[in-house]
Amino acid sequence: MNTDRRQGGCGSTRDAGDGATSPEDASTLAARPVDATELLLWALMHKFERPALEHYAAHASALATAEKRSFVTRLDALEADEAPLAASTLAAPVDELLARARGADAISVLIVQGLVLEHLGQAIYGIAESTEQASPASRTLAAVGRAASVSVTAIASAEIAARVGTHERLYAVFVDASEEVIAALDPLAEPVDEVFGERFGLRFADVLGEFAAGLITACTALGMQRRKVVAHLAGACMGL
Amino acid sequence: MQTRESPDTTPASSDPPAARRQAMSSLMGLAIFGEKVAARTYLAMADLRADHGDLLRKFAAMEARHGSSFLQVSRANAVEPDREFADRELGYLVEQVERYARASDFDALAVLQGFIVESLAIATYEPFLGLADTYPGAREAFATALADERYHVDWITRYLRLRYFGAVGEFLGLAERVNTQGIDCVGGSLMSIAGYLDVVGLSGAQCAAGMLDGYAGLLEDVGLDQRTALRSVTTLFAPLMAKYRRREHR
Repeated sequence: MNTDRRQGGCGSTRDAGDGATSPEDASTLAARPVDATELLLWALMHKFERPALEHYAAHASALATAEKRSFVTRLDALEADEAPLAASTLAAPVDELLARARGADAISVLIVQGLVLEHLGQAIYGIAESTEQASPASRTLAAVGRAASVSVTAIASAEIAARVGTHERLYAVFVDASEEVIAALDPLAEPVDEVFGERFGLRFADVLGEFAAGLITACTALGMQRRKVVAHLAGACMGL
Repeated sequence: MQTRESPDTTPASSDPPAARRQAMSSLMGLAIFGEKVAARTYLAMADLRADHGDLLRKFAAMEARHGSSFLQVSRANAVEPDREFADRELGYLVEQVERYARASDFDALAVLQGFIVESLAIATYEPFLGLADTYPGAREAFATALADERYHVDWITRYLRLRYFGAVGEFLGLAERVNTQGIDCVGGSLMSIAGYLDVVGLSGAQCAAGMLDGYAGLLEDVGLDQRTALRSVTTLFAPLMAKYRRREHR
């Protein structure tokens, strides 16, 4: 785990890389993905990751870990053209999801960004990392992204427990904070399958399965009853 | 292999008593005829494994009795079981059962019937006991069925634990093979009745969670780790829930 996550004064995260560039960093930066669909994926992830880091810097600075800052710097460096993303079927549901994730207080940032959306990112990175259809550069980047996200969720869980509590007390807050964002995931299903399914074998159902498994496991580790968390996810997914 | 269609089963009536009657008719139809299919499935399993044949025939008899007792409850409460609805829901399951039986695939039948179908039954019968007293005779019939289903699940769990001891990877392969159609089919039936469950005072989302979590828990009991079990089940369940949502919001 990163030990200097509180360093760096995250007020300006655009410049908040951790400074040193390792040989691995350099080789990854050199091996930039060139495939248009891969770049679209990274433009998409950048659209999530950059505001997330800014939210962390503003509301929950411990979550702006060195790993996350370094990863977002890598995504910045890709300079993936956002125009294809804006023109794709992903644009509207992504904008809707991000609008719902725009929490303005520490608790909603911790829960929505630090827990829910980070687990969504981990699911996407985990699948991208393991798919042989992706380039080595993208697979490496996905592995780095997943590790960065894990560094955030570990701290987010501890922060949530410290600030909100655990078990039933946390469950009520978690439900309230996460419902709208979870309900906004479904419209992504068809666009994700359409854009990334054939190229990467990245299906939204797999992402959702991985996401749910990770999020439920994290919630139960915080003392929430598994059955109730599953019911919350089911209700949000079913619109009930 | 058949594919599941998405019938529009949202309760249509705006008249609450009529909607409740329609909901109970569909729910009892699925329960009654579903128990009969369960009886046939355990008989098919008994035919495949002589060493467990006597016990599995007893399971089949228990399932048949559930069907009969549910029918009596229906009659006592002037609920006409909706056979057409039940046939439409169960046809897909019957096709899968018959295919496994023809292939002498006992373990697939064990997962399908003993885990997936029983998880649906438990996930709905258990909360229904909370309002069973509204329907004369229902408490005893459903409490008996619930206890029996749990007994069946316990035996199947023990069987699969022994069968796949030290072979969790092989068990995961079996579960994923069965899940592909089994969750689409049985989970799809749960989505088809979710609206009806809400109408009669239960929660479709709670029942769906009960089935999903219950089935994942059974996979864990056999040896899968929590995350693998949840991923295996939710990957197939989530699209069904999304389909339900889209139908509701059309």
